[in-house]
Amino acid sequence: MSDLVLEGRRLRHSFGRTRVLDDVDLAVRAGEIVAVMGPSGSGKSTLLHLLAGLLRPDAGEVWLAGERFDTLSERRRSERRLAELGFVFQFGDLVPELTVEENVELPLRLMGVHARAARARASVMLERLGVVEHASKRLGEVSGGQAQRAAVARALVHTPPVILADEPTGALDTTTGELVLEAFVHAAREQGTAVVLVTHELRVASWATRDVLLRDGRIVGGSAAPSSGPSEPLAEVAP
Amino acid sequence: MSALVTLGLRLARAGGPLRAWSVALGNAFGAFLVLLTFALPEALYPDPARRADVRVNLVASLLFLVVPAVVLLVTVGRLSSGVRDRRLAALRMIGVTPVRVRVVAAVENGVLAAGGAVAGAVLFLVAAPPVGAAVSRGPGWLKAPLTLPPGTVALVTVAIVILSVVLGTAATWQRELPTAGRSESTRRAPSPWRLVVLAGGARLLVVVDRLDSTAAREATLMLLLVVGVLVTAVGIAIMTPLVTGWVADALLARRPSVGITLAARSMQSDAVGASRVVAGLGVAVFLITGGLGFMGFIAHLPHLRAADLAYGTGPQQIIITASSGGGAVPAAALDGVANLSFDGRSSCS
Ligand SMILES: Nc1ncnc2c1ncn2[C@@H]1O[C@H](COP(=O)(O)OP(=O)(O)O)[C@@H](O)[C@H]1O
Ligand SMILES: [Mg+2]
Repeated sequence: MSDLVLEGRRLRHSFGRTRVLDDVDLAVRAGEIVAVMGPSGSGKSTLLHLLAGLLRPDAGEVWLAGERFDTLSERRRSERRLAELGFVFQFGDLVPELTVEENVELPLRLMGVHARAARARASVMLERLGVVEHASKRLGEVSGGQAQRAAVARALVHTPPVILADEPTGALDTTTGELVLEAFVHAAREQGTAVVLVTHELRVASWATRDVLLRDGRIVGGSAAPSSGPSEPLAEVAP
Repeated sequence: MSALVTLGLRLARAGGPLRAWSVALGNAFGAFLVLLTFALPEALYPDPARRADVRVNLVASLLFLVVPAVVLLVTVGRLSSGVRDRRLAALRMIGVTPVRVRVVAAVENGVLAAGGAVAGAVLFLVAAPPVGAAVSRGPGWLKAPLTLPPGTVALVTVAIVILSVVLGTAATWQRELPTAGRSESTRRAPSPWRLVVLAGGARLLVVVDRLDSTAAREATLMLLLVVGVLVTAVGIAIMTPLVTGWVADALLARRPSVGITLAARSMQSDAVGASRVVAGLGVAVFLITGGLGFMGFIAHLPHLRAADLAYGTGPQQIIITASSGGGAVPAAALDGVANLSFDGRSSCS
């Protein structure tokens, strides 16, 4: 399939002697929202880190936009991560010294976008996620949920073809959580962004077009490859 | 590029006044100390021949002055840098290349260091000559003005800033990327294989010590000695994390209080951190300069010095003692001997 944007093939990873992922396959097409589900410790975060090139797999391959990704040099992987991936981390990783909007515009600035254009684009994203009134606050002055939405805005701001989000609604109530999910659906529909969404909440997974179930480092359910039929987000039929 | 510089400046400003002031002051003091070190030899021994004579002693004692300066630079550079290091790791995560992260770190550290080092250099240029003059007039230790050409001062200042930036960005040397939120707690314990380097260096030194030092072998011997010393130094430096780890393990083994547990765990988590290796290097330099100083001291004991001169290049020292009752030999009696200088000392007993 030619429109696969991100693919993990037979990924295997261990921390020390503990095998955390074992022969995991995951292929994601443009415009899809894939929910990766599984109990705590099943290897969901590790899988995302492998896909993002933050970790190298012990065995297996990662392909990004039709090119082998995991074997690239540290520098090349970093460059492609900046331009082609948006990552929402499970543990907040915004730069606390910067304001919310400075954090959000950071990827654009690092990619060489002019300051004013970056600021404008950041405002749009903050608006969409309902935190625009906190734009000029430092990270210490906003709540955990507001910071998490800022992190989502940062992942989306440069319209990367792939979003990897690790429990992006973990710190959010239902309403703000839906703002985040709506932003993902918007990106998937409007820009054809592929979204990989790690979660353990069924309510969140119901927004996805497809889900994958991970247990003890193995895929035990769901569909690891996209179906050939048209994919529709399930949001409308979700409870 | 400009985004990186802006970010670096931003982090420097946001890092807190404690870090900013300590990096700046540390560099000011360090620059002053190093400049003083460079200026002292000429001020103490204006005569080049005499200076060459006491070279080993001079270098050793001046290194002793410089080592605290380096340790100071390391310490202030690493002060409250844990938070900053986490920022830099966060940048890596979103896809900033290692080189660009290093630029950010260098700008962050560099502006603070440069401010301090320039202040230290200015202080030296302004304060050292009058202080030197006062010392010459008073105790009279200095035989020449305590000063350096401006070019040298500028060069030393730049070198200090570079050194400071290199040390201050030590955390970015780590190639592997800590995954989010787990950065500190997953560093691997240092392996005991590090001891091999130290053992190798020490063994080499023992071998050198046992070899016959015939003149023909002297160059080889010197080379072996230098290599042995270097390997030993590196051995000491990379052993430091290992010792740190052992101490932490020993502390934890006795089910300590919460405070000690916290301390020991944090020692473990940063055991292989670059700052510890750098600190170890400081210890190594300290030990080696100490050793050098001692050797220099031994080599310059009067009788060894005389033997060395007699055996080597000369000039040879001759002590003429008159038989009892004859009185001192008049200097004039030796006037006819070629190439002889008379140091004027004569004694009767
Ligand atoms: N850096 C690490 N070092 C050692 N073990 C780790 C590390 N990261 C994760 N693990 C282990 O790997 C397993 C999977 O972790 P993770 O991928 O975070 O699970 P999940 O995100 O599904 O909760 C867990 O058992 C965890 O303890
Ligand atoms: Mg996780």
